[in-house]
Amino acid sequence: MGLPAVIYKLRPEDNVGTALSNLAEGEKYPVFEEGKGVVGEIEVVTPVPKWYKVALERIGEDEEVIKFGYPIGVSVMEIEPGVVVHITNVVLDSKYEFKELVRRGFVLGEALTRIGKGELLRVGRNFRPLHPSLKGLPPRVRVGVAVAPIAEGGVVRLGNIVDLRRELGWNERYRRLVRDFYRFLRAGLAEFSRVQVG
Amino acid sequence: MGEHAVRAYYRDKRKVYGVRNHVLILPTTLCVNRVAEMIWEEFRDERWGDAGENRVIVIKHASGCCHVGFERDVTFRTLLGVASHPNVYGVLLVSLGCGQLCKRPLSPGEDKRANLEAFKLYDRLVKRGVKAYWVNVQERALLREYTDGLEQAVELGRKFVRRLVEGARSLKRVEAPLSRFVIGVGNGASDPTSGLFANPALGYVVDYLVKHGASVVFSQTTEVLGAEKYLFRKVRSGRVANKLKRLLETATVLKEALLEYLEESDPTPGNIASGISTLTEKSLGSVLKIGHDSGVEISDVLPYAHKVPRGGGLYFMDGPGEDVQAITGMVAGGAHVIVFTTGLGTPVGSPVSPVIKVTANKSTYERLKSLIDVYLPIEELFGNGASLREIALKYLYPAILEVMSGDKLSRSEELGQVDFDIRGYWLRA
Repeated sequence: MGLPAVIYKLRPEDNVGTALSNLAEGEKYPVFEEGKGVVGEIEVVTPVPKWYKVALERIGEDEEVIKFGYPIGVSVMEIEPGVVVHITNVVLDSKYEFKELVRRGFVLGEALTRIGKGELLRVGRNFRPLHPSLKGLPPRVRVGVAVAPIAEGGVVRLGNIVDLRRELGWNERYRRLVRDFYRFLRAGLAEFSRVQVG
Repeated sequence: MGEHAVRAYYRDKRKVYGVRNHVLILPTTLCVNRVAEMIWEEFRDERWGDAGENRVIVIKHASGCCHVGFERDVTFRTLLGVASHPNVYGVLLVSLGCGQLCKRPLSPGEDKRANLEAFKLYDRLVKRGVKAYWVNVQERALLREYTDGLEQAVELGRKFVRRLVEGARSLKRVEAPLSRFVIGVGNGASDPTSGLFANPALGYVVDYLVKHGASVVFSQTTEVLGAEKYLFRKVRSGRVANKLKRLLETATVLKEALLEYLEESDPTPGNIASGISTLTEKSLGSVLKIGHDSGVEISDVLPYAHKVPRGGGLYFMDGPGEDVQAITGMVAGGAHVIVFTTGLGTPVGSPVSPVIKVTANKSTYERLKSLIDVYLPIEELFGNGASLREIALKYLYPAILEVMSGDKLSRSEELGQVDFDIRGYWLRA
């Protein structure tokens, strides 16, 4: 493809751009913004493969990485301008991702320790509530049961726990449907296929 | 003709405009696919309309029998939606007699209209004002003893189709405003150019279409997971926000129930190799096709194959990420035309609606010219400083109107693509 050797960004607020060709280490390349043209220049400090992202400015640790005008993840280390931004230094912070959804009921809280499958989630023990309707619960109150292992600091949400408390206001029928679906599916898979379930 | 008007076929009885004037042969169950095809064979090369864009279409599908639970309703809704599609002049239903959506056979001597009301598909089509005929294979055999019922069913079917074709040929296009149309958008066979150029470019066209009164529908629920922040920014009313939340939860739970965890499965190793780092980045690249203008909000969240309201707005229809099933849902919802972005190239089409394929990948366009309708010349971005919006409105928007007005066939129609697959949820009984 006849694309120029530039770093392309879609929105003014983006702090990463995409390399439209392979970029060589130590060379300077123009930063091209859609609708505006060349808006700057970046010295690339590592070789950048085509379509990979390059930091356009210094991104501190635990800061948002913004592409398309929206945060696509959070940096896990300091990123200098001109460095490749990829899975080594940016992760999807699902806590952040679903922060807005906490309010809406998607995310219930955070795991304080690693929670095994089938383990009980108790406030303060292994679970920190984030959902408004769970906030006032006294310590050690049972919140639900994990249906999949949840990593330490991982997100607890509908989908990885069952037997939720009623305070959540979940539709009771929906809750039962989800629980039974897991049960039947797991039983069926175990019995009729050679798929290893858990 | 006005700048934002389309020349289309007007159907008085139903008060809708269609961009095509097809005659449809629809088996109500998969067992009679071949019978429907035999009826169709006589009309294989029949074409009408200024560019020869209209024809007799047979939809062969894998549904209509042994559906369990709400899957039956979804199948019914999809078949009804396609049969009463604005682009269809009239429909011949081919049924077997014992399927879930079939007409029960009459016993000899019984009144012909006796159980017609129980044949829901036909009944609803007639109530909607659709020109509909039916052929029942088992019944032909019962009514005429000692003759070949199959041969008779085929003969009868052909007679009905001949009648429909005659009527369809006499209809002429008239001018219609953009607000009477529904446009579906989708993407598949993606590569990095899809997320960077093609989908954002389509987004500008969607903004423009909605601004000029058209309804736009998008689907592919599994491909928006991760881009919640973006989606909810486009939702104002609490009712729609609740529906959207519920839909995204269900999709996540369904995936997790199958022991597939989003954070682990996406992005795939292939995505990572082409520079995508997180699920959100991947989903954003796909979801940007629904527009950039924050003034355009998602008017409603619809179930699969549900009718999309005409008269403007942006709608989200539940549907799988898989191209054919997603397109089938949007078409059954009444989408007159589908605009589909691709990076690697795909031949996908749909029986009753044209599918316009768009790419921003020059080498794909050059190698697969017979599949791709529109190439967005992104080199103009860097050459003469055109913006993505200008490119999209200069190349893509006129191409959509051209195909809708029947001045040109889409590549999917030229190829005779009749891809049709109704979403299934689980095992059949």
